[in-house]
Amino acid sequence: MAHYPLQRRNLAAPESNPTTPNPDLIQTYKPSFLVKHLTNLNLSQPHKTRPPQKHSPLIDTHLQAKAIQEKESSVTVPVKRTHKEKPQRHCLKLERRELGDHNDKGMVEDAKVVKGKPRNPHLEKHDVVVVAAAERMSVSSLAPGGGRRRSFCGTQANLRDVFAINGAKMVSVDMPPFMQIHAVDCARKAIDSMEKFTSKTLALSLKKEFDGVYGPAWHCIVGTSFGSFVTHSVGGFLYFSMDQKLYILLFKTAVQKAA
Amino acid sequence: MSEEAKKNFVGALTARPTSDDQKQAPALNVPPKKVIIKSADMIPDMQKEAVDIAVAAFERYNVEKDVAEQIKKEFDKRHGPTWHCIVGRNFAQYSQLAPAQYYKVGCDVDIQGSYVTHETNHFVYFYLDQKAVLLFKSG
Repeated sequence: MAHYPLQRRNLAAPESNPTTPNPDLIQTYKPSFLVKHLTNLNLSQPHKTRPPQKHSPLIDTHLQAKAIQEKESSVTVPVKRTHKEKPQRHCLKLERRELGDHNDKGMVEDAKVVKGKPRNPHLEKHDVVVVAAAERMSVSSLAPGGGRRRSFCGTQANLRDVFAINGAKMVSVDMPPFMQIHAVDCARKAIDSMEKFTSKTLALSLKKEFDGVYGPAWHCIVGTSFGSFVTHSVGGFLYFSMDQKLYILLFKTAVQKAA
Repeated sequence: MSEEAKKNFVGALTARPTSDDQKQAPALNVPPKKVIIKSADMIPDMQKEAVDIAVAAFERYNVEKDVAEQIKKEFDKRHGPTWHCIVGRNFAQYSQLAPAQYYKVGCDVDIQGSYVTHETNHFVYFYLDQKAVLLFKSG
C-alpha cells in the first residue's frame, strides 16, 4: 500500500502545472486521475467557504472528505455512531492489507475495491444522498463551466457533458473515459426505450452490451437500495447513479478457461 | 443438476420455508430470523455455511456493504476466490459466464427478479428477514 501513494504524488506533480498539457503525457492512467481532480475541484467549492489550508492536493482531498462526513453526521447520524463506525473502518483497512500481502494483483484489486466502499453507505441514507446530490448540483451550477473546460482536455469536457445530459453521477470509477460514456449512453437508451422500467432489464441490457463489445465476463447490479462487495479486473469497475435515486454497479471478472 | 434447479425454482415461486430452513435458524437465545432460500445451486453444507455467516454478519454490522464484505471475504478464504456478494432490499443483477447457464430467480414485490449465471455449484440466493443476499462465484 505504501507504494501507491508515492505513485499518486508523482502523478499529481505534473497536474500542478496544467498550463501546457502535453498530449504525450496524457495516457490511459491520467484520464482517471483527471476525473478525480474534477471531483475534487467540484468539492473544493463548499470547502472554500471555510479557511482552507493549501499544503498539497492530498491534504485537500482528506479535508474535503472530513467536511462531507461532518455534513452527513449533522444531517442524520448522531456523533456517537460516527465514532463507532471509525474503528470498524480501521479494522477493515488492516484486513485489506493482509489480503494484499498474499498477491500483488490482490493488492491492486483490493486497493481499487477500497475506493468504492466508503461511499456505499450513502445508499442506506436516502436523505444524505439527496442532500449530497443537491449540494453537488448547486456547486456545479455555480462553477464557471467555460473556464474549467479550458483547463482540461476534450475528453474530460465530453465526460462532464455526457453525465450532465443523462443525469448521471459517478460514485466510484476504475474505467477508461470512453467506456464510462458508453455505459451511461447505453443505460440512458435502455431506460428511455422501456415502457415499464425494471431493474432486471436494465441490468441485462448493460451486461450484454459490455460482454459483446469488451468481452466476458461482466456483471451488472441495478437497484435503489443495496450494498455489495466484489473483486473486479483492473480497469473494469463502474458505480454510478442516474436520476438521483437509481444506482448501477457494473464490473468485470476474469474468465477461467474450461479444462 | 437441472432437476435440482427446477425444484429450487418451484420452491422459489411458492416461497415456503422447508424444514431444513427452519433447522438453520439461529440459537434460541437470539431472536430467530426467518430464512428462505429462494434459489440455490450449491451443496447443502455450503448453503448452511452461507446462511450462518450471513446471520453472524447481520448481528455484527448494520451497513449492507459491511455485511456483503464479511460474507465474500469468508467465502474467499474458505472456498477460494473469486466470490461476489450483494445484499439489499431492492436490486437486480445480471451476469454471465460461458458456458451459458441461466437461472431465473422468482421474487416478491420488493425484490426485483434477477438473471444470474455462475460457476456450477457456486450460487445461492436467500432471504434473511427482509434482506436479500446473493452470493455467487465467478472468475
